[in-house]
Amino acid sequence: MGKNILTTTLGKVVGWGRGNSVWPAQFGLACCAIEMIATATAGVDIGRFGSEAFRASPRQSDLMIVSGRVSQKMAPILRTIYDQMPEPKWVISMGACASTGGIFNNYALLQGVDKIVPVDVYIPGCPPRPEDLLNALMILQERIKAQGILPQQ
Amino acid sequence: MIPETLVLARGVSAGDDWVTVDARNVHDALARLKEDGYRLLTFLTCVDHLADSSGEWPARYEVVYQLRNLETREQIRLRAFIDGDPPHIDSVSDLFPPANWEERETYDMFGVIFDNHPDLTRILMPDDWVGYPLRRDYPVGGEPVEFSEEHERWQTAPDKA
Amino acid sequence: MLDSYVPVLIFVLIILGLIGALVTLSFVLGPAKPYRRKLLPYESGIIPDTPAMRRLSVRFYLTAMLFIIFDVEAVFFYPWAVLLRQLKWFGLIEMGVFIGILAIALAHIWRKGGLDWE
Repeated sequence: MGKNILTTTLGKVVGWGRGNSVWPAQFGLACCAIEMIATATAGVDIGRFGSEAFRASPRQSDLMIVSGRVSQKMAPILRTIYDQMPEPKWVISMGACASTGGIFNNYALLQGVDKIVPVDVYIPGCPPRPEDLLNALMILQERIKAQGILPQQ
Repeated sequence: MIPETLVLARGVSAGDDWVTVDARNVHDALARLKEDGYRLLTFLTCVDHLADSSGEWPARYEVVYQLRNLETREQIRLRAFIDGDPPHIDSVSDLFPPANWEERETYDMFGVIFDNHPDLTRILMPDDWVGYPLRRDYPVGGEPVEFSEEHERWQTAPDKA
Repeated sequence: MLDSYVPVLIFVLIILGLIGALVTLSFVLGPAKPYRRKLLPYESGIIPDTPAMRRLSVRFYLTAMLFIIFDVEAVFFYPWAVLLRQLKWFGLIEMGVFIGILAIALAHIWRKGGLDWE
């Protein structure tokens, strides 16, 4: 009984800490990347949610925001970068092209990034507004806080 | 200018002058044009006339070169019709260095082999891709999309829209 | 005399404790699921095919060594400059001899081309 209280309290603290300091990896691929950059600017500030630092290396990031079209040539590279992120890691699929292939239903693009990486939150839009990305980040933060110490991948 | 013996046809299309030459004379014609001042190769591409059954095209593939004279600001378009499986034409990357990558792109998308090209490999598609995507007989690809209008169950209720 | 260093000791102990706690917590609470793909060296997402170890030019070693020698010489100047008034003529001539020896060494290096980058 005592141990359970300790682990749940500790889980809440850990979840709070993890959720409020989600560092995205710089993974802008196409036009949605512009909106992701706009989210980092002063007007829409993603830094106030804890994501101040968009890390250049996947080794130092928790979150991969796939923003843009994923071509067949880019798919293995995306998977390798996802693999090189340490646990716990999450993926937000930003925009229509990353979620389902968007308007490009053809041979050259991957029809949805969830074919190669597990996605936590999808954002529809072409491109979605920066506020949509913040909304997705808030949904993800609630999910992270609920996960506790050991995130179920 | 190009010697008249090489010219097969001339014309103007939407304000652009074009000239048709035989595929074997493309390198000479472009060398002459480069000497005359058309030093900029604006683009190099290919057109696949497979779907056009009107019979006005002498061959299936038409390689198009657009040249520009930077001093007089004139443009000229060179067309050469080639056929074959795969079609062959001389490379002009020794005359115009940008043609190197443009010929690689044309090869990648249409399968046109450029003879004497230093490194004819795929540039846009992955290296092990099979097929030439911009040919008319290549399928568009993608996956079938299900639209909500076709499904009774998926319609959003009016009060929730 | 050593009493004035007690705050430093407390400071060091606090820092060691804090770092130890953070690293231990991270080790205990952090999930670790290593697999081969994850442990590959990062090279912008491609599988690396060129080796990372390369032969470096010996010029770097030469420059570093020269820097150490002349930097230590510069470090000796500071206490001498502070105490120059007390050392009077003796200190000046002594340091002059020191600088002279090192100046000969500098001239030798200069002539031999040790200062040229190429």
